[in-house]
Amino acid sequence: MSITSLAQLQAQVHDAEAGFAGADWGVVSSGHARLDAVLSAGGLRRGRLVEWMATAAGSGPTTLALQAAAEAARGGRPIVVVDRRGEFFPPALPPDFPREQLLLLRCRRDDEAYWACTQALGTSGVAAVVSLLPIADERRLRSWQLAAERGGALGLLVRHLPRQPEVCFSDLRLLVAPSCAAGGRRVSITVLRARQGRPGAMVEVALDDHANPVSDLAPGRHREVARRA
Amino acid sequence: MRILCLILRPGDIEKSPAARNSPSRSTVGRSSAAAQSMCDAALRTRLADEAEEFSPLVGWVGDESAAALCLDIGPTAHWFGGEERLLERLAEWVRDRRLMGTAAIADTLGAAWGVAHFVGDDSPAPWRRRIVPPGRQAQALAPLPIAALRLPAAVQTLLHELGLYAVGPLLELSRTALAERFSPELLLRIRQALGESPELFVAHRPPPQHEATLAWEAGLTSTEPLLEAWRLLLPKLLTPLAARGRALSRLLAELHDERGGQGRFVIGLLRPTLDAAHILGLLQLRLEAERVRRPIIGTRLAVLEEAAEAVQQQVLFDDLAPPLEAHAWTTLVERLAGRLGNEAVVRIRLCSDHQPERAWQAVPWLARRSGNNSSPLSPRGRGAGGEGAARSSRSPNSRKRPPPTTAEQKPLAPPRPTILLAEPRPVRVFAVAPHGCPRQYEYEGRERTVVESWGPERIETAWWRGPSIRRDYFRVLTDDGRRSWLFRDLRRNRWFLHGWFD
Repeated sequence: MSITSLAQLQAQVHDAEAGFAGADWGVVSSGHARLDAVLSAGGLRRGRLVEWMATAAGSGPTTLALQAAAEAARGGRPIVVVDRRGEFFPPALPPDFPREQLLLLRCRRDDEAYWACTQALGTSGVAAVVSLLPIADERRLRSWQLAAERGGALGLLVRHLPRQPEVCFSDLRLLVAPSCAAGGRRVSITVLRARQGRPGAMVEVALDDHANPVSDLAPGRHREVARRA
Repeated sequence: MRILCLILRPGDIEKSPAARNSPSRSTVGRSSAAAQSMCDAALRTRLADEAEEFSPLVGWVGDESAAALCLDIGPTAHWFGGEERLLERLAEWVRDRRLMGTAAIADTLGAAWGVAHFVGDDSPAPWRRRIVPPGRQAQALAPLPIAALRLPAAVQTLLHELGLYAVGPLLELSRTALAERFSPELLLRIRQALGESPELFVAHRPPPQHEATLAWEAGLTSTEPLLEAWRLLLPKLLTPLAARGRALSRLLAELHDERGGQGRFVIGLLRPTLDAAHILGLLQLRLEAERVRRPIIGTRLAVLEEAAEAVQQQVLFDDLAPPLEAHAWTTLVERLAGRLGNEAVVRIRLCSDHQPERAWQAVPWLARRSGNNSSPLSPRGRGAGGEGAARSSRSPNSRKRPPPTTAEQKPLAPPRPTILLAEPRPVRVFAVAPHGCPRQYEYEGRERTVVESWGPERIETAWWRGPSIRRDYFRVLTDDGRRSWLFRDLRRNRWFLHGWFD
């Protein structure tokens, strides 16, 4: 195949991806300027899906997704968190997280959780939908993608998978890998796939485990926490 | 709100000159009323009926031994020339029925009940009365015994053992300390008496029941005919509501099967509505989740809760119209709650508890009478969250609390993981010292070397909570970069994985 043909094919792919873009709902920050800088849109696009992938729990994708959700919710719009396992722990949210705007769905079955995600993504006015689901069926993502394009919500999918799925209906697929260096917490984020722009970019960001004021957790005089050296 | 609490006792007409002199207009019965016990249900119903001349909202509160007739006189007192004049009329009303009574008026039901039961001496006066000025319920309750707060006997006994006999010293104690050491009812009663939490009483005359039933002979297993039945029944519920300017807020749907069983579910609405199509859509969603297992031979719909119909005035300019997004959000919450159930659609409330399992509560978004069902998309101030709503409903003269300090001034608790396992999972941990920090642990068949750890953070539950919990928590960074939350159970000397900093 000639270089000209390759260039034509590349142009066709680019045009197809541009046509795929759908309605423009605006761009929000991911919460990390360094990550925004390597994304072609300058941030995360509303009305799209963003996958935060990690190979195992404890790597940081949930924290990153929640930070992005908080950025999307500036202005008072609600955030929907869909939790299938009942393991999401709200006291971990930072003090400045808009908790009063958060609606948590505790689904008992997978089909209910998938349906709830579709409904929330397709509702205008929802800032972000954070999915904490063990997604097994990639075809479901297609319906989520269409719902997000229709409603304008930013879909943030936290996925713990040993390897990257072949099919991708997301605007962005980001791989979160922790740094095992001692000291401040840092994670590297690699752009695995991007509808617009080039994949392969990698940035390292600091990720703090937020400390909440004691009174938010336990304002009592009785102090049950005792630190020892 | 002004509540009148009236305690009635069988009277002695021979000792009551006023009763002897006054012409009796009693419909209860001239000779028998004094002799009948106040426990007589029929008599109580008739008294409540007749007391409706003072207020349209009348009900009995308390058990039989300490029952009191409660009247909401806030909207009606001025028709009698004020509360003093109303009490004069009420005294005549009591005498006419050859009864004795004690009446108290206060801002709250709790304060009125306590003052009516415990104020004054024990002399058998035929009529005693007391008016607590608006906002003065704390001062009125302070000298009264703690029984005035309508507490369970066990709580009263415990308070007595601690040397607390009057309400005043109890109110001086820290609310947080009370919440940790006593049942929630104590704090609830205090808040209700002071007007910080709402308290409603049940009117003796129940509101009109709206329900509709449909039955058929052959059992149905498909959902389409059932939806058709609901389509027929809904107008029968909604038309009477609409005639009274009311709208549906909560709906009960029952399914009757061939074996006499009964499936039932409740549909909650964020915004009261008369839209039959919308309600039918919610019923259909719930039906999909319920899965009909046995042939259905009948159904019943009943109005559980109604509210004033929300009327949106037409506006000339689009800028003044309510945002369509707010409507979409309301619809979304109703649909989610309709399909998943109210308990699955929740907001977050952090609790003052260090034990991770009890550090937060899931509050249903469509919680009944929460007063906080507003949308985040509503105008500023309505959806400000539970704490703000509670503060705003506090009586202006209730106990002052120090202003909240800023987050920067508060000490910080150690970080918490974003993922908390439903059950802590046992892990094998290797530590250098018997009570030292972990150096290596085995999980999912793989050994993980600890690069860094932070802790211990000792979490112990208090003795009054029953079987105690004593844990030393560690935040752990392993060689694969993962951050986990481990604890050593000090009672059993075993290690567990409890969460991930994901």
